Amino acid sequence: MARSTGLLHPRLLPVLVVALSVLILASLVVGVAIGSVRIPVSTVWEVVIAQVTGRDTSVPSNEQQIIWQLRVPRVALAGLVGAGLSVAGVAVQALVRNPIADPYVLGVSSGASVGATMVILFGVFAGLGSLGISAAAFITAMTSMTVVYLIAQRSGRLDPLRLVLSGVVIGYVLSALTSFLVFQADPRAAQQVLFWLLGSFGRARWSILPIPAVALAASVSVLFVRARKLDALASGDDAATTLGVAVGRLRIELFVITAALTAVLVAVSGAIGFVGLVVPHAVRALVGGLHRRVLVVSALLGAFFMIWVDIVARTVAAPQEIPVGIITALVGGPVFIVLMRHRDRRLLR
Amino acid sequence: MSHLRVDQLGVLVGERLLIDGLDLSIDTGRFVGLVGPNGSGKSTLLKSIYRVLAPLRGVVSLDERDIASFSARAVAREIAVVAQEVPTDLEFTVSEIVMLGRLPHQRSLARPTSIDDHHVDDALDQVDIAHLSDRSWQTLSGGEKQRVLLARALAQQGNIIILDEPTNHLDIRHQLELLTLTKSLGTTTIAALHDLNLAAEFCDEVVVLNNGAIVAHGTPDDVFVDDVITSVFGVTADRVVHPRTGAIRLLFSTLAAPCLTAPAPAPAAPDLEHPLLLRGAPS
Repeated sequence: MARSTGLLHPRLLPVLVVALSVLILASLVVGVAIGSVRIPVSTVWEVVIAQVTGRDTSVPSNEQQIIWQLRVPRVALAGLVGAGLSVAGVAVQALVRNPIADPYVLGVSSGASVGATMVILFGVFAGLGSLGISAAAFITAMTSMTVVYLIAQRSGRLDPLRLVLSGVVIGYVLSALTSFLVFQADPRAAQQVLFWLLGSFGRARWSILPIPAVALAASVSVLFVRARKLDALASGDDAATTLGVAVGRLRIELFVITAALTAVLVAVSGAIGFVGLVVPHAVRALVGGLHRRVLVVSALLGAFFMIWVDIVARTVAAPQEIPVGIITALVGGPVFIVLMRHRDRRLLR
Repeated sequence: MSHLRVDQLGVLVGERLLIDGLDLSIDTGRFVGLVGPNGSGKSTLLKSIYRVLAPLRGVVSLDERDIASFSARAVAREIAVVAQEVPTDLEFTVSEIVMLGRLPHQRSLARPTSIDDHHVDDALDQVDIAHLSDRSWQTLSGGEKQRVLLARALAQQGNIIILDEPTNHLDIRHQLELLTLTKSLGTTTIAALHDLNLAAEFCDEVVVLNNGAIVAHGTPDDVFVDDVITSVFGVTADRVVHPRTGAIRLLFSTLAAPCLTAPAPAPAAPDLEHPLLLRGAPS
């Protein structure tokens, strides 16, 4: 098999996929065991098996509660969001053909923050309980993406540069709106908004998991089918057209996928930065640029990375919990710089 | 077999009608050069043929079928393009890029077949870049990139090859090699060329465009005459014959120059020192 531009020989790709999958499963178990109350891994297994098979267990029911109702959904949500943001990052970088784009470049996070802020500060949607924030964030995120789309499109075609500019401008406007709302409110509420914006998996429950899971599965399937077209699109719109890709339609599909997936993820976990930017880059450095490989490996690496980020977020300043977004940026930033420098060196050789 | 026809084509770019009422017919297997000054509409015409631009009016047809009725994939199976635009930051190897030429022939989830591999290897060999197949795109020189894009077009196995100023980034040796190679394929080729001498040497037919209209269409010998060159390019050209290949060569000078001197006397007798040199072009 021919080489790719990545560090890893394509022949080793199945090994990487299997290794990452095993690591994710192991991290799930470790992630459930670690926390304010430390639980032995064997107990975690016992409870999970008991819950899945319906077998009896001697573990006390409050410990079962912690494991099954709080920690398992939390770790699972971290994995889903990590995978989802990474996949959305791959899609948006193909959509705007710009390697420094992340899923939030289309204005989704600032859109979501307006909705979340309104719920936190003014109790809009209070009737929905904890789902209120997610529902409001999703609605305002989708609204801002629709506005970005309407500004960026010209007779139904999306131009990458206009898309990025519209997203950035709408993002500024909505951030200003959020800041204004926060400025008007009392400081305690302001801190709550900030905490939400920086991301947390603390609100994870079994009931909300199906939404990000379905969004992720649907996006990955649709993108995987279009992976070769994304490869062609990387060489330019005109080139992709001459290779038989209906570029206009592909862009709209990519926009809708990125918008819906990112809006769902932000709604359930806040606007966690850097993962959608760094993971696709790291993966391309590892496996080359072909989108079939990039998609699958990004989803796995993103899930693995986010589970560990959440573990760190819960433990590093325990019992205080640090917002996830702080850790992704603190870890992601240096990783990104190392990757960039490494790549430059490799190209100069 | 692919007979390309353009009927009463009108193309709007931005707010300007860059081409209007253009007719063109190109027979199978011909190597056709498209020449004209900057902004004459060469790229606009080619882009309407390969469907990056949608015409405002008129029809582009292949074998009497309107290409507007083709799917993007179907057009890509017929027409392969080497465009001016060269992407910079692709994270693909050379063979991965050439394999993209097989895209219009592949199903969306299928892996490359042995037929695909065969066409990719062939294309790499033809353009003489088999040794680069595992190299990263970003490490290639401008000329190597152009040859990779030609290989991708060859792998596409279209009935028509369109070269949109393909020699822009190439040194003289690779310019000649690229055109020699493309011509040797015997595939219908339409090439936008800036260098009129390359057009004269390689083309069966030359189409001269000016202000979005065809000014002349014929063999290089018919087309490269004083009238046309002066009115379209704004220069004068002396026509000579290449002493070895026999192709027409044009020696350019600015339009003002001949007016400063008295008209050159007609050559009374063949110049014995330069027997192949003919003064002045027939007009």
